[in-house]
Amino acid sequence: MNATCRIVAMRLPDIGDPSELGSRLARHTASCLRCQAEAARYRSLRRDLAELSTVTYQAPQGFVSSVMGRLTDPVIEVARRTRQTVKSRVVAVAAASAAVVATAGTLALIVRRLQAPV
Amino acid sequence: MSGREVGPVDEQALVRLAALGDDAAFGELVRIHQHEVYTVAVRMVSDRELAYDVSQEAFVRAWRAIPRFRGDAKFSTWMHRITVNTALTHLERRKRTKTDALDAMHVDPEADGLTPERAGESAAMRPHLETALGDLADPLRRVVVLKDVYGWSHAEISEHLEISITAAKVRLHRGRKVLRSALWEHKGERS
Repeated sequence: MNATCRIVAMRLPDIGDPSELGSRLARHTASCLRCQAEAARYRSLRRDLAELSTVTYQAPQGFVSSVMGRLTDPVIEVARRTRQTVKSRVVAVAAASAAVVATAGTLALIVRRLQAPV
Repeated sequence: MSGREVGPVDEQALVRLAALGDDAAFGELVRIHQHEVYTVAVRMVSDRELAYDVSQEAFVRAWRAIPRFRGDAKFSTWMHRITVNTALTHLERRKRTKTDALDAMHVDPEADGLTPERAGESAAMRPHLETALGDLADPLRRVVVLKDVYGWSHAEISEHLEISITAAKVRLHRGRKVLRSALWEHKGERS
């Protein structure tokens, strides 16, 4: 393996075809059996990986009923409702706090104006 | 995908009904997509037990989110993304454990228009590839699965895995090199 072979080997994982290597490296590959074999391995690897998308694992028996059970699972529902309740309480407390602060500010302003010398 | 084939119009109707809270319609969607979702989960986490939890939770998340599903993408594409995100969440929570990922596979080579010769050759080497893929480190496997198996773009991978595009490319490069070595160096030349 010479230096050019090593460069080709470094580039091959990123490209689909040796023609994408650029003219100098592509010319080398066209005349180098080692690099051609390496390119063929990566082509085969990518093709085989792509074909895995057509292979399906069977979900275990009872998968659907288990999912449907979880949709109506009272524990999950309670947790979801609790989260919603907590969220809405936090929003309510925040809104009430903001209202109190705004009212206090307004009152303070009014008192200050009333106490101010004319 | 196994089960009764449902046309796009039927599926849209099921999605609309499910969005309105019809759990029977959603159950039909689960039945149609269960194997596909489970497969994505297995490939992402390389652990069947964890994949079961991931795919179950993915459907629960989908049920909660389906009122907001606008139908811009196909339901299967939407489910695919929910499954990937759920898998990433689980992987962060639990340390990976390995189980045999090779049994109980349903193979449908004709779905890809393979010739019988090519399908046979591909099926013969598939266990080695599945093993090598399962042996990849998590960060490398996620990128290789999303890019080379499911055809995601680097931008999509970068967004979902919350890594830079450069990092996604580097991981893909490393992952392919590791797979190439595993298949042709450690196990000898394949025919």
